[in-house]
Amino acid sequence: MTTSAARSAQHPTDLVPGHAGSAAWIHGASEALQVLSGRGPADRMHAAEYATDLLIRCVEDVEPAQWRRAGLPVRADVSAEVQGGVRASDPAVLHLARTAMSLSSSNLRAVQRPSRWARLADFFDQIVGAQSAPSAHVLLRRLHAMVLCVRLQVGDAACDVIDGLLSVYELHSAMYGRNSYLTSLARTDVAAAYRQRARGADLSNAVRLCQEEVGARTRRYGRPPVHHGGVQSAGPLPAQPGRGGR
Amino acid sequence: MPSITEKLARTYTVRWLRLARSQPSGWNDRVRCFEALSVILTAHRASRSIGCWGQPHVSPARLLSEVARGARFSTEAVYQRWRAEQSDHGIKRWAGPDPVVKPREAFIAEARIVSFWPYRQGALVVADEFDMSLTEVAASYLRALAAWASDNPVLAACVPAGPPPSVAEDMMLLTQHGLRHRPGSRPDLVSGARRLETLACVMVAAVLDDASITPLGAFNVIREETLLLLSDPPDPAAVRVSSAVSELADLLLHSREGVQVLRAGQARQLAAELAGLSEVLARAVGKRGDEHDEQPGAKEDP
Repeated sequence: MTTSAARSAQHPTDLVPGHAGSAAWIHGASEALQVLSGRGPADRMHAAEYATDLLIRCVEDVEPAQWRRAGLPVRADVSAEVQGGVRASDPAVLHLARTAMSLSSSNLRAVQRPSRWARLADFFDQIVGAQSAPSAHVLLRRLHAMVLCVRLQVGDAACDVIDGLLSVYELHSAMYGRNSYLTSLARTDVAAAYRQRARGADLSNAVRLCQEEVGARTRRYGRPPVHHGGVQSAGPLPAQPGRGGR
Repeated sequence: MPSITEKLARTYTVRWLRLARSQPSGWNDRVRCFEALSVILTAHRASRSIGCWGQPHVSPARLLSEVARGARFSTEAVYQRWRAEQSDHGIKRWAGPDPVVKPREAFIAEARIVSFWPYRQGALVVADEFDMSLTEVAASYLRALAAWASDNPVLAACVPAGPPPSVAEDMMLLTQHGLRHRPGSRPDLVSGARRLETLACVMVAAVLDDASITPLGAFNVIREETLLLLSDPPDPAAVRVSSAVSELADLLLHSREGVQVLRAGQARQLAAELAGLSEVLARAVGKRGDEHDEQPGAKEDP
């Protein structure tokens, strides 16, 4: 590792005083940590623990033991000293917690993932409330959708999974429009769920949704999507042109 | 040779910010103006209801006068901070003395830089901590930029819409670092940096066009070309092996219970081949030193 001026000079509240600077710093760090999902298992675990350390240091109203109960990898020797002043309901905290979970659960077997994601979603159910920013509610909804997606990946296409994914799709479609990015992701998830259950009209519904999705992506990116066929793309189409991810 | 994060910690904007913040009184006055701008722009935030899910460009009338009123300064006091002719005392404007840059534009530029800075710093601290390669740093930086635009859509959409102007010098540094081992000329550097800056603008425009897009989704719009600009020309054999190894690892990690991906004999043979390859690669790494520019992955979620 290098020791650069960048590390020593910065603090979450380094430039813009108060809460906003801190949350913005966390959001930037969270995006960089997600880039590490392309590394090997050891680096991914290190990144997950680093993200969890950041949560412990920057979030003022959650104890380390609560993060552990939420399924995040809290190190045994972690210091409980809080340096930041961000509250757990801040959207930046949801971003970082999701990143930590995504990195740590990528090292688990697929069957172990749904319960971990469910613990995180349950934790934020108790945190995000009427006073929270609208984007915190959107992130929480996406967290619950993630629980359904990882259940789907282990072959669980129960009615509640399909109904849940369908309601996310309809909600995003109503909020952002039929061709928006989140609607696209949700539509792909529903199509994958129909394909997996494959009962009654499921397959024809999956085909219809895929056709809609090809149209939406062609409009968005100016060309039809290219399927690279990676095993991680659970849906019938990749999430974005050429790459997985959300 | 300094790392890319070390270079990014020594830019003109970094020096300007340090100098500006070393004058607390003048800096606090500037922050008051940025806060007043934030209040003004909130009124222009697009409603994210049905049929309206993008952030249109905004150009509030008499912006600096309104900022002065909101910050409780005289209009002249605000103009004086951001006009081309600067006094010898106090904080100089980031845009410098070029009279072509009008006070309103210089003010918006600084407001963008200041609001983007914590995102940039958060991304670079992580990049440094994990000794990221150039392409990983670029991906982190650009995703942090998309996160900024997503959190501050009206500021990004304020005419002239786009990313903070300090992005240009950062893109220049990234391009310069990418070309360090390649025989190239100044025009390659300038055109590469300009292209990278244009891609950053395209990405921010993608965020403004779709309120629901995530930073990763926005970065994916420009991913291929960005990585092409910054990566060493790919070695086809290395790319093929890397893809095959990733695919096999994914199959082994994510296959359902009871599904046999490999027979025991196949696994033994592969393990032996990979151990042999590891030794050869270790020798190659020893010869080439510690520079590496691997592709950052995008598969954050299963």
